[in-house]
Amino acid sequence: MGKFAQRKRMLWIEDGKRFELVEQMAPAYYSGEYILHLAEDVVDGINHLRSAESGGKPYDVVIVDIRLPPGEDKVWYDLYKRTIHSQVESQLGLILLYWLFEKDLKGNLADFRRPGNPRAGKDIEERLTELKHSGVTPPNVEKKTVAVYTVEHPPLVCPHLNYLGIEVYAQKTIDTPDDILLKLARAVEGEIDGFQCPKIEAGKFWVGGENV
Amino acid sequence: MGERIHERKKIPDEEIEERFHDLGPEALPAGFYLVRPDGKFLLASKPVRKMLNLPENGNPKGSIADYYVNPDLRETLLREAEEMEAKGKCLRKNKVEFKVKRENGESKVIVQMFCKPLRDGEGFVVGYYGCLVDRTKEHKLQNRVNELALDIGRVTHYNSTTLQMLEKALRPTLDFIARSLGMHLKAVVTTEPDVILEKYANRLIKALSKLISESEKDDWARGALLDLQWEFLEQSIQRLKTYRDETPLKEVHAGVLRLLVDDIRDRLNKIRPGRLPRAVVKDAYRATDELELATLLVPLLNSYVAVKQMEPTLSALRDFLTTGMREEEPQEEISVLERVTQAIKNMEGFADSRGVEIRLKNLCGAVEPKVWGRKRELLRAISNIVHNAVKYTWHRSRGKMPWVGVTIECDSPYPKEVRIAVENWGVPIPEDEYETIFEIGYRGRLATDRYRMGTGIGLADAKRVLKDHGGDIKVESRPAAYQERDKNSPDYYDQAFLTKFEVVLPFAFMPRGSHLEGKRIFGEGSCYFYDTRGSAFTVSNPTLISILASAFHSNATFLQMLEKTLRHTLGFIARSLGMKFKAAVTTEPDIILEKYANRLIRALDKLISESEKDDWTRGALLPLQWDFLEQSIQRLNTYHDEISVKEVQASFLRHLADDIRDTLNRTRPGRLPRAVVKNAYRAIDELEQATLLAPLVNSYVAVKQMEPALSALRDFLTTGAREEEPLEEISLVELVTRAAENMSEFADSRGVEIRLRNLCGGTDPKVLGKRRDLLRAFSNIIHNAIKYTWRRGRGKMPWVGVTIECDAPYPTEVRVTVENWGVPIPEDEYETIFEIGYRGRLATDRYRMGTGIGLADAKRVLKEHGGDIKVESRPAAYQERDKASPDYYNQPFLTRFALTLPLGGHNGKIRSAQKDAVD
Repeated sequence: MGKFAQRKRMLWIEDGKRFELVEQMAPAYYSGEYILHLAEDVVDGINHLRSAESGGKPYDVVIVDIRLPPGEDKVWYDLYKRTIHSQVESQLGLILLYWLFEKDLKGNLADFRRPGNPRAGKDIEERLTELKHSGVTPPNVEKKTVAVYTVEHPPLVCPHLNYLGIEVYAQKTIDTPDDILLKLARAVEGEIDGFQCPKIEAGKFWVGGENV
Repeated sequence: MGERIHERKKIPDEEIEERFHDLGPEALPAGFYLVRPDGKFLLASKPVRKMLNLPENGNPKGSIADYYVNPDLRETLLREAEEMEAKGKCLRKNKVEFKVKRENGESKVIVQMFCKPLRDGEGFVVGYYGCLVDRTKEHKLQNRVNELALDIGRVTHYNSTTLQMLEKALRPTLDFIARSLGMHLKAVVTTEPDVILEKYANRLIKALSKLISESEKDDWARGALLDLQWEFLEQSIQRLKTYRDETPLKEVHAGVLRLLVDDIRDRLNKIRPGRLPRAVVKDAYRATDELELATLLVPLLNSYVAVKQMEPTLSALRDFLTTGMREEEPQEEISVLERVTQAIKNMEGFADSRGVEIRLKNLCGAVEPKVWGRKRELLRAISNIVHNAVKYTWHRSRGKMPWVGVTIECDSPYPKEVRIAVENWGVPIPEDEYETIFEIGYRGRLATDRYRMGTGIGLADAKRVLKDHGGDIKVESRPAAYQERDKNSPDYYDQAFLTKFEVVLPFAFMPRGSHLEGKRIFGEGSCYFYDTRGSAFTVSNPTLISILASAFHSNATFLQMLEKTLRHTLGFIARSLGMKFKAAVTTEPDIILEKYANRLIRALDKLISESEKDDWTRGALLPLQWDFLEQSIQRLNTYHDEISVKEVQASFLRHLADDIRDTLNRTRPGRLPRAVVKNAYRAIDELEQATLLAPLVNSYVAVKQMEPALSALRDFLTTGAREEEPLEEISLVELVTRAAENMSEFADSRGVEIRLRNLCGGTDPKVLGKRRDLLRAFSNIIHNAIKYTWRRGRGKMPWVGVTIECDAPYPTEVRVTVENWGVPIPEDEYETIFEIGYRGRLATDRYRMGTGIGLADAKRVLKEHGGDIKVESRPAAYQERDKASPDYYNQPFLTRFALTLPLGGHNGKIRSAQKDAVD
């Protein structure tokens, strides 16, 4: 009972967890250290965050994937549909993080371009503006509780995470340990190192120009 | 601009002509030319002079005819230009190849040419004039796109090969596990995984409860474990009862139970012998093993289904990528029934793995529907639709088989068109997606439902093919229940939908129009494919690339799942055979097989010798069956000689073990000592497990190996460019150590030791270069060496030697050699293996995969740094075999890659090499 009373709360927003990543949840459950909640799309994730906020029990750890489906909500679905041809570009997880922490974007994301998509940063700006116009306000989440766990490699996400001030990140690879969720949670709580995003400055990292 | 007009106005009219003559038409910024009929230049503007390396000023000497790569082409073009002139148009050719002499040799220039004849007053041709536009860069770009597509095609091909291998490994493993649990595979596929888990969790609860109750009999029994350990077992019983509530997500139950089983086994291992009844302890162990097997069943089944599912997806992707590069398929009259039957056959394996039944109905009666078109394309289109239907079918409750219905209908006794309806019961398609799901790259918003993967290509490709054949495809999806839920209800899409894809194709005798008049189109800056309808089906590069990146994204997480499943299964089988995981992965499979084949020989020998005691024991089997067992011993002794391909030996032994088991099952009870029969059964089981080990190890290694190639490609596809890296002074020791560390995981998975030596004494050689590029180059070479290392006999660890050498006490150059013992590289391939896309002819040895990119990339990087790579490969044995002997390349070779780099800062060699490379 004592152990249950001390259990911390973890939310994993990830659409592949029931299948490909199912083995990675077992250690988190088995350890008994966390109450693990699961959200399978952006809207599901937002709902979880909102009810945690309204219930006065915010999550201690929130692990977010970058490529996420929108869920049943017109605004998010439209944002997804705009880049429908490309799961790479849709990156709704990233939009979610910007919305949570940089809703009133002060900076200029034009530098976050890639040769494959010189408008990558601008596109995030535009989609944030649309979200802002939708009038929906984001739930309150503490930035330091957030970790990103994605297939995307550091050059693609770290400039954004550095900009947003999200420090904990891990890339999904074949060698990812089974207990990655526990490790990320410990990294969020400052107990272990080794899950930091490399410091990559936007704009200086990529060669602009031709598109192959 | 206004000022210039003003200036122009100031020039007196009489001067304008003079000024123009001074300037000359050469000054025109466009690539203008004028030649005599024989080709000699009369005029050439600056861009043309630059393009063709003509003198900047003065008379442009030479003839345009000398520039043609194909000298006969000019005559043809001139004729065409005159024909076009007659139509009032000018000749336009998008791709004409010119050869241009320059100081450093000859280079090829690809020009776009516009040309018109110049006639005098009497209408005679006195010359030709027009424009030349340099298109070399665009064509290079186009070639790069094609190369990339080929690379991707190649990777997907190796992917498919690995998948086939996986299928071969997973299927028998599943069979084995199902049988060990007393189930048929079919029952496993259709039973809810939770039901199986629950059964074996309950069985373990009973076994543990019995153990605990035995322990409570007296202090002696209680002392078999510490109190803490008994407490843990009691808590475990509790967790076995409540795991479902602890983990609300069904899919995680297997993983949680596996961890629990591991811990329980740990405690059982601590039981002091002789304190508890042996049978009770044994039963607890057995129940633990069974539950572990049950937990493996679910992920294995998921992996198996995923592998089955990936196969058609990947081959469709490969087909899609290579369509534009393939010989055009001839058109012919095609039987619809035959194509549909074939498509169903293609999908049977996948449907089977998902326990889905495909029901075919032909409602065309006596009419045999035929359409006109391309066989392979139509098959792909129909297969895609059926695959899609199977993929998105839901499992029904127990006893109800999920199905996909395929119906062929003709619209009347004298039909003009044929309809193929493909129906399933499962994932909904919302109405607003009826059109969009056919768009390329689009995946329905509910398509990720229940962990299904896809690329968003299949339906788009199918629609295109059907349209090309004068047909079309439509979809409709409605709730399956009579009592529809409210459309606005949040769980509207949680109910099962009946989804129907309807294909319409015109009958073969219908007028065909021009819809199949194929022609190749050319899309600048885009990938091009056959445009068989005249309407464009180009896919712009960013779109294509993001589709591919998405496909590889699915692949990445899929590989994660496979790695874990294979590792856990391998772990279990290795433990059952009394081996450690590492030993199972590193020992040559033949050695393991031989061990267990010999064990079975001994067990059968014992059985036969027992049978020979008297007629009663001999009567345990029929003489024919005893004969079979004796023959089996013979075959177990000689299988090496019978089957030369090592990889086939495992499957042969598996079949033999099966037959031996069948025969033993016929033993009449009570005639032979029970222990001897039991021992024979155990030996059969062990041999079977050993035969599973080899394909599982191969698959595990292949999966591990697939990831770096895939992730490199995925990263390249997603980011589109490499980083701009600064030059820096780099410690070579540090760099090489890092590269070796990068590869240590892969080396571990293959049981290879990397031996690193620095022979530069106390010096730490430094080079000037790009850290990441060099790291990738060294990692590639070490990866390659590990990949092509052979496993050695027992006790001998396979190795890769990495040595850093300096050429003198004051070195100007540093050399890193990477050596391995294994797959030979024939001498005539010493150069070619560094060519992009080339794979050594022995490189496919033992299922090793590769893209043919790694070595080429490494050589390029080294050259850019003013260095080089060379390779040498010699037989490893002192006694070389005759080079002409057919088994010359069957012996292990010592292969040495020597990488040289000039030391940093030395005479600026690297800098200039770098500069050249950048230029």
